[in-house]
Amino acid sequence: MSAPLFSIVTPVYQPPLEVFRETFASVVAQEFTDWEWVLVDDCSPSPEVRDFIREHATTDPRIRLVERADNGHIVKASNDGVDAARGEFLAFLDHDDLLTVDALDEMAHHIADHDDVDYLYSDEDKADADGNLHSEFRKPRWSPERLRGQMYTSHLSVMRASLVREVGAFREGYDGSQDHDLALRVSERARRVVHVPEVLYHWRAIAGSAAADIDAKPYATIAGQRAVQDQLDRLGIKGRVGQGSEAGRYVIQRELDPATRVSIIIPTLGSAALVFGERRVLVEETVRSALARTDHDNVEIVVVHDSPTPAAVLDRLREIAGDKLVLQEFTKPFNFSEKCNVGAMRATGDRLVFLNDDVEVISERWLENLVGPLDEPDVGLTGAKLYFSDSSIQHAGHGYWGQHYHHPFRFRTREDSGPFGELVVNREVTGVTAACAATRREVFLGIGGFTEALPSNFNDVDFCYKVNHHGYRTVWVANCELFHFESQTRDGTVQAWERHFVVRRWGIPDEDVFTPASVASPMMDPHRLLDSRIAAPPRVREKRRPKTTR
Amino acid sequence: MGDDHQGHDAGTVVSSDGSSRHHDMNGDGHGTELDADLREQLAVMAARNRELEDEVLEARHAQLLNRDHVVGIEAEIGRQNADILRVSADLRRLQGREKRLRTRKAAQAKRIDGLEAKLVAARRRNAALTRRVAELEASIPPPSLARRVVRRLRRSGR
Repeated sequence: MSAPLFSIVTPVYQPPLEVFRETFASVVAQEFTDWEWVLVDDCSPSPEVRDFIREHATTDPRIRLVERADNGHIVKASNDGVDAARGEFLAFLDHDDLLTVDALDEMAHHIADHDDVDYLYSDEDKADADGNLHSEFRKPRWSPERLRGQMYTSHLSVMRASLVREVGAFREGYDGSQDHDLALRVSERARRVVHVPEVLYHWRAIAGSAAADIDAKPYATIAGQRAVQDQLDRLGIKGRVGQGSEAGRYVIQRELDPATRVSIIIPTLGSAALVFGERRVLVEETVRSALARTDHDNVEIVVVHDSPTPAAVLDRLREIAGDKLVLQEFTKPFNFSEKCNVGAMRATGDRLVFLNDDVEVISERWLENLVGPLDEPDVGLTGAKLYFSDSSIQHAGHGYWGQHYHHPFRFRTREDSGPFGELVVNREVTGVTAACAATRREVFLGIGGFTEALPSNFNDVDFCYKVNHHGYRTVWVANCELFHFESQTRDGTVQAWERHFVVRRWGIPDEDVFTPASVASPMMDPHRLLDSRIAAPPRVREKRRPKTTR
Repeated sequence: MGDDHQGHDAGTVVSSDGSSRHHDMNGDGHGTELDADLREQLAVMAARNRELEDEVLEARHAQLLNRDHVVGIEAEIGRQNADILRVSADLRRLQGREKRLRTRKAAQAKRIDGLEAKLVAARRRNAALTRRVAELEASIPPPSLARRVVRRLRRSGR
């Protein structure tokens, strides 16, 4: 008998028989038939499920039961399954979850499309006790940075069996996050990781399960944190992993080599505005907060100032930044792109950070976290999490879909973690705003900087497209937080020709591969809400008749 | 060229206030003159240095602009190629559909021709039968008076 394409591996420990029957039915109903199913009974106290499997294994040679002599828990049971599997690919299925009938068929199609694929994962949803499906998770294209922040690939995961064995399969000591740990290790060596954008797995969410509430297994998040830290250590990425704002999310505090010179480029006119009830010269607070909230010392601040910038402002900048300050006068008409390019040419750092003059840095170590990911050679651009002055989200990465360029998750609150953790973990995105973005010098030069044909709008969109076009990842950094007092300094009106310019180069945006439109819808724009209330005809109150007394 | 001279060229022996490290050892005023000359020379060289630096920056900036232009053109070509592929695929699909429709149209036309021929024949046969019915009706003698009365009574329902 030749080896099948898929070995489904399922560790079994005492599932309710009626639940397991449904899992069983979902596997035998597969449209694709070249599979085997390795079920590892982890010494369940009750024999009924074991007997049920035995009975079916006698009639269907594709079903194989491995019986453990002792209860070894999830890692040992899963590894027994991996050892027994004969298939080219391993598909991991929990003993109470469900596969869609086309699950293996879809996977087989994608394997046929790519000879070098080593890891595939699909979208998933959850099934409640009554069989209702909910919480559909439309996942992004392969996002290694996001996998460090959360186990987003989980179900259905299909891995090349030889690679799983090469990395040593599941590791002891990572119970509860053993799948996350394996995904991290497999993806490091995988030649290709493919996202299958179809829901192929229904994750049973019943009380006490991780699907319903990850807090049900607190040990899992501790193991997850270690798994991510291990990856950073293996890859030589300098940083410390911590627990995120909710269970199963991890934050990375990056460290920067003191020798890495960072140039922060700030175009300004030196204007003032009312912020938090005080009139401030915006660029002064930008520079002050930028320097105050980083431990990295090898920094220069390149301020590209228009000629009318008041001399007093420049003097105060000298006081704030001292010998870190480089002033570059800009005498031409307003062109944001050109000002950034002039600043970049003047800068001496290996890392370039572009910062609007109307921001205020909130988070400590913002520069380390923003610039750190650029140490990975395939990361070309990073961006930050920006808030309006009311702490609602202004920017959490760009999304380009449906013929428009969007700010997904806009107006959500600072505490909101997003539908699937999008707002609290670092993740790959299609683009980021240039209001706060970092890149490596060689990337900036290689892609030709900001296009000066777009002086005002969409220059960052074009920049992000260029970064992507050259094969680099763009990473949005959740723990680099700033206020952005947007539109305090310029008019945001968009001209049709600006959009045409971008479309001529890059085409009409259709679907965003990292931030699907279905999960990224912003909250209702409060300004629009206010507009509609103002525009609505006033409600006429009916005059009350005075009560008549008889 | 001596080291000292090189230092002057590079502007490295000038302190931050622009004064020279060469001091007037003789006190005859000759040194002061020399200092003034040097300062003037250094100022000229510093200005030239700034000019050259600006030129380098401008050249780098021009190179950057040029690179953006090239990347932009590459992108447009890429996008156009993608458009061509998409349009070609659409064209192939439409051509296939047009071919299928044309075949179907020809088959329909053939069927219409056949049906029309059948219709003509049927009309001809119908006309002949109509004529024959008229002939036969003409050849039947009219019913008797008694039969006509009976028919009328039946029709009236009495």
